[in-house]
Amino acid sequence: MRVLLIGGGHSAYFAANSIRGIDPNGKLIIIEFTSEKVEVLSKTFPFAEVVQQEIDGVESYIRSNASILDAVIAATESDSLNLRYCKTARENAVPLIIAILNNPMNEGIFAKEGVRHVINPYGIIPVELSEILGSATNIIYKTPSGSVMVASLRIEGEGELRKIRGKLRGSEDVSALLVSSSGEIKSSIEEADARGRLYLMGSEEKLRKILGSFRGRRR
Amino acid sequence: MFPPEDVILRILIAAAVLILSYFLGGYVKSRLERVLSKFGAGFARKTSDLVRYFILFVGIAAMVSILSLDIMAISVIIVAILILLLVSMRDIVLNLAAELYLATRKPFKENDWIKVGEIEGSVKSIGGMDTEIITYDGDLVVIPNSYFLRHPIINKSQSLARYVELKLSFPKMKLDKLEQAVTEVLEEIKPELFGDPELLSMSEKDQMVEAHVSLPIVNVRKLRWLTARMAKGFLTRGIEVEIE
Amino acid sequence: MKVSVIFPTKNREHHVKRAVRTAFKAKGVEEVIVVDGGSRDRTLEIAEREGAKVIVQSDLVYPGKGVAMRDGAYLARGDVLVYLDIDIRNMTPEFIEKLAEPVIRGEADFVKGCFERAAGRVTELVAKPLLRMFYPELARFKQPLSCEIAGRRSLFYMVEFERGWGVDVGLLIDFHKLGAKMVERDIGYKDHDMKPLHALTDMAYEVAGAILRRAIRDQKTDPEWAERYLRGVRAIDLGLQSGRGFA
Repeated sequence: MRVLLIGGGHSAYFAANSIRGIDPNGKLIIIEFTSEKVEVLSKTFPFAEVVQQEIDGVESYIRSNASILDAVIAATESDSLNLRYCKTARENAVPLIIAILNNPMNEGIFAKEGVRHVINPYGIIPVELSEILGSATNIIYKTPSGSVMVASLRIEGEGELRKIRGKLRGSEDVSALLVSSSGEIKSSIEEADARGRLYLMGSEEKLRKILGSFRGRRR
Repeated sequence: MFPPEDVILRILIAAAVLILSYFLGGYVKSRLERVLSKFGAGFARKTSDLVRYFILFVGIAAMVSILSLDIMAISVIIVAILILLLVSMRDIVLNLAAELYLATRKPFKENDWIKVGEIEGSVKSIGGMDTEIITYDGDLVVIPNSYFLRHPIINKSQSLARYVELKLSFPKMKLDKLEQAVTEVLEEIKPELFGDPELLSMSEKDQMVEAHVSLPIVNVRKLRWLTARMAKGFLTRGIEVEIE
Repeated sequence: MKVSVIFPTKNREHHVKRAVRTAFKAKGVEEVIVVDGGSRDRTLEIAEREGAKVIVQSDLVYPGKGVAMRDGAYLARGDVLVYLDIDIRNMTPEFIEKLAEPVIRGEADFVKGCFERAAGRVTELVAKPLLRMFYPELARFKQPLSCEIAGRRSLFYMVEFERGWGVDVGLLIDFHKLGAKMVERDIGYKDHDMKPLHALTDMAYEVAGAILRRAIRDQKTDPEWAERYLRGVRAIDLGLQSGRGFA
């Protein structure tokens, strides 16, 4: 796969290594703006082709290579540039466009511009905190395509357990695993204790409904 | 005939009804557009426009009635207007229904790979009236949205890669030598693919050797460039090839 | 030449509508960009409704004016960039035109706006003395810290944006170093919110830092001396406990 990665900072570093792991034979092109950084990146990523471009030149590069590029990943240190480059890639029908955000507050702005794959590196913070602090409900992961979700739910008492059993009965598209308060893992909700944390995996639509019925009950 | 003062009164009332229907149409349009905006701006605008024209049409009918025109004349006018509206707006109504269908069911998104009828390709944009699709050959096909109501849609977007099968025709030569060349050329273009290319079959046919290969590609527009690179790869090995 | 107007801002919902509308009325203005510093009010929503391009600045640092200005420049597509404070209550299209015109006419690459009031304390006590010391050719600017500026977009991509309050004086020095044609334009009376007093110490330090870093870069001073001076600036009492605060 021919991937264009724009940027040479932290995000780009992790992106480049991930791409190498996913598609070891693929063609990775990294664009940077300064000659000093190009030199450093060439040494850091010997498997990639590192190209120097001016800020305005990147768009011309995308336009003239759009028919052979499989993916564009915008990972510069400015969300303004990321937005510009994603828009150009979109206008030139590059099949896969990914933005790695610097500021999660820009997620909505990117979505409005039709950038479907937006990575928010800080998204893990609320998820981890919710798990550590044991919040009542927590969405742990959602696939980028939006169809599958992993979530957790705190169970406190027989009543709640009965309620969730009722909701899961006949739901073959959701699987559950309960970690009891003593740390024991139960793979069937029928044999679960009344207290613990329930992990659910299944269709996003279904899980959202289940979580919705439990939300707002406690912290 | 009516007395002159009665005629003036009727004309005034008819004019008032017409003006009222005009403003009522405008008001209903703006309210409806706001309510329907969740289904997409284009759909909301067009539907509310239709409703506005309908109110205006009712206003005109009422005006004609107040003016007490001959019942036959009124019927003829109304039927003619209705037929004219139906004929001229058939496509608009169909596209509108299709737009509502696409907005609510969302059978595909931009960049999805779909097959609809005989057309297969990547969705470039979804508009109010039509949808743009880029095919394997890199051609941009504009499909009126009503097309989606008449043909089943197959969304093939679960995998990034599309498996494209190519037929390679060579002049007759030793199969083992050719197989090695094909493997080498496929290896050369591998960095451009999403996974391993595959030599599916190789057989002698008349004075030719025919091979079928499968390429997993993400960007369909790349196919022409890839076939050119493959042809060049064979040529540098002294082998002529025709790729379909 | 197309003009892009950029407003770096945060929590300015009461000013944004008027500012964006006024900017669009100015000659040559093709786009208005609002770069937000993480507002908790409706600033972004209103800006977007008024037709401005919006983005939240990439780093939510304080003071992050420089990051906002950089992100504005990066998002802009016009040939000429005009930066303005969003809270200028008497803003008119002429404000923008006065700043952009010298660049459009080719008389300047960079325009610094100045306005009718005495320069502030940070300007008089920190910026001007340091500029006279290291960049005497820039001492002619009456208000080197003014944030009403205009310039060619391409040149903004060749300079270094300080992250905080030092950005304005930093740009002044960097444009000078690039050999850009620079002028100062009087844009008249400016009615806007003053910075709170406590912000001036931070500002003084940032401004001094921006000038000294450039003096070191341009080999105009000894780095050790500059470091000592910066420590001194941090300790300066600008009389912030009394009187009005001006930049």
